[in-house]
Amino acid sequence: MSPDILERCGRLLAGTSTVPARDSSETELSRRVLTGAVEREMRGRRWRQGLSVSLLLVGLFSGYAWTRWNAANESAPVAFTVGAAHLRGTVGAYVAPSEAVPLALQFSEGSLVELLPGARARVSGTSPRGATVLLESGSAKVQVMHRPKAEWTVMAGPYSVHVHGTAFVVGFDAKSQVFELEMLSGIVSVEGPGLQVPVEIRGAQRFSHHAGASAAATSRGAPSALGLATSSLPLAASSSLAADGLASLPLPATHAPASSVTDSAATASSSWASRVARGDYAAVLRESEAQGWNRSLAQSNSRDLLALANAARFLGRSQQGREALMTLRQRYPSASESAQAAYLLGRLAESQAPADALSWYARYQREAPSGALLAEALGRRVVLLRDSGKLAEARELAGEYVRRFPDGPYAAVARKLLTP
Amino acid sequence: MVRTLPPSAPQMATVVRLRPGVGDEAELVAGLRERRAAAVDCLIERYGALVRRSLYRVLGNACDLDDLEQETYITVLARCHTLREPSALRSFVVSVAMRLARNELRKRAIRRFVGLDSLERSGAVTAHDPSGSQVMRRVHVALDQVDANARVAFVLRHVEGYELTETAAACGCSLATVKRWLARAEQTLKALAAQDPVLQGLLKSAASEGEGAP
Repeated sequence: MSPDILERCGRLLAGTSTVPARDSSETELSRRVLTGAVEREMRGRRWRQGLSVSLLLVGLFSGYAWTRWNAANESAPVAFTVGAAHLRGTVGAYVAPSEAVPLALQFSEGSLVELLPGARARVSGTSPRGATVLLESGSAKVQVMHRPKAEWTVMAGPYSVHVHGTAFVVGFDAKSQVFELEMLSGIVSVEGPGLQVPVEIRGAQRFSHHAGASAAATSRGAPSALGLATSSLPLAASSSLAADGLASLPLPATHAPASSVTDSAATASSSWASRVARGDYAAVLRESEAQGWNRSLAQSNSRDLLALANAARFLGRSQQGREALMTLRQRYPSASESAQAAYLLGRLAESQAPADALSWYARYQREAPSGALLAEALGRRVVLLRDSGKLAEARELAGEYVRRFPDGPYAAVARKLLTP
Repeated sequence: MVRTLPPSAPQMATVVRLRPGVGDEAELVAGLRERRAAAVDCLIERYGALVRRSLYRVLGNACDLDDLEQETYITVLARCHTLREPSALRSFVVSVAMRLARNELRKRAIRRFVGLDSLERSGAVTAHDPSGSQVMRRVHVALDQVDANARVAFVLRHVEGYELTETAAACGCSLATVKRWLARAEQTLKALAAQDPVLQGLLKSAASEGEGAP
């Protein structure tokens, strides 16, 4: 094989190149190398120090700029746009969606208010921390961005919903004066006519309130066993959970039922009622089962028994719910919770044994003739009788219902039955 | 401490300067890490010729040779703590020198590109053979047009006589990369030779040598 050009060039260079002598001596070079190494090290150290200082300065400046930017953003009131075209919204101007398509109000801090068809609303005020939306009629789906110190209020008719970072659907029917709120997540508190204290609603609960009925209830001085129920309420139930939501609404401490029977032995479970009110269903059930289910039933006071029953029902454990309610009725027959237990037993029995449900509702009526759930119990009886074909009895009860609760949640059903 | 003389050295007649504290490579590396003057002296004495020759052959002239040599030792001193295997000191020193040479070649290419330097600078030609000088000058001018990586690989492999694996280690790259660089150098030189009668003559003589070879 012939040598290639690289090899040939390499041989030439190797044979002819004579390396020139060094200008300085080895000793001198060695001294310069050591000095140079020290200088380089110092140069590197200075460079690293410079870099650290620069990074620190950049960090400080970035922090300062971010703080200023944040402060500027926080001091400016939130802005909003209307609709898919993102037209700039004006505070105080009425907005309403078309007949079929919802209208979105998109706020600059990320919150969204979607007016459903038929709604009519206006943003009545904005601040750096939130906005106030006035829903005159119809329904709106609200998603409020969770931020520290957020101040969001949705006013639906005479009701004010104070939002703490959440998603919910709120509606108000100006004609029937019915306020409804369905939680999707988070917490809100509702104030309104007939609500003596702000009602906190959380989790997947649904709250419905009739302004007229609440005033009547308050004036009658109904027992405050359910806090909210004290002054309100027919609670429209769109689902089992929504119906159960009534019993699961938190009880303000000042509104604890006067007739609650306390049990000094039930120290371990004393907080179950408040924990269930917070939505801690599974943990409460686990705890009661760990203590022994039957022992828990035997030792709990009336309030905790009701809480256990609710926790079980909300988790779909109907049998456990039924056991807790039956125990409550057996152990505390004269407690106010006992009547509520009758109503809830009716709710549990409806799907399996409508006749039993009718019986439980009737019992509730007898035991709590002016109870907060009376309209509900009577309404359910009307519906069950109608569904079982006992129209004569259904009409009789429907007449009673319309007389006592002309604006109640089952008034429409009752009137329909009465219409020849 | 008495150092062992190289086998080829005339043992009886040579006076060897003693450098206390530096013996084998491990000891030398340890001394360099401690910045001992004796270790630096030994480094220069042991690898000075190799470093200067490699730099000179890669660069093609003596311009900045002293500076680059000094920079090589300073870099070795600064980076010797990264050397895991003291026996690899020679390869490490050569790789540092070659990295500096490559950087210098790139700087020169940039200087030429912006017109601050000329292609015809070549100090690596001995003047005793006019025809050889002419060929050498043409070779150096041609090498100046080979990129820095390929030039370093060429010098280490074909001038210094390194094995391919040693060349790859000194260049700090893989064997395949070195082969690619060498192929690129060959391609460039062949292309230049096609237009240069002096280099063409070199090629022809290489071919005739190859035919005459057993």
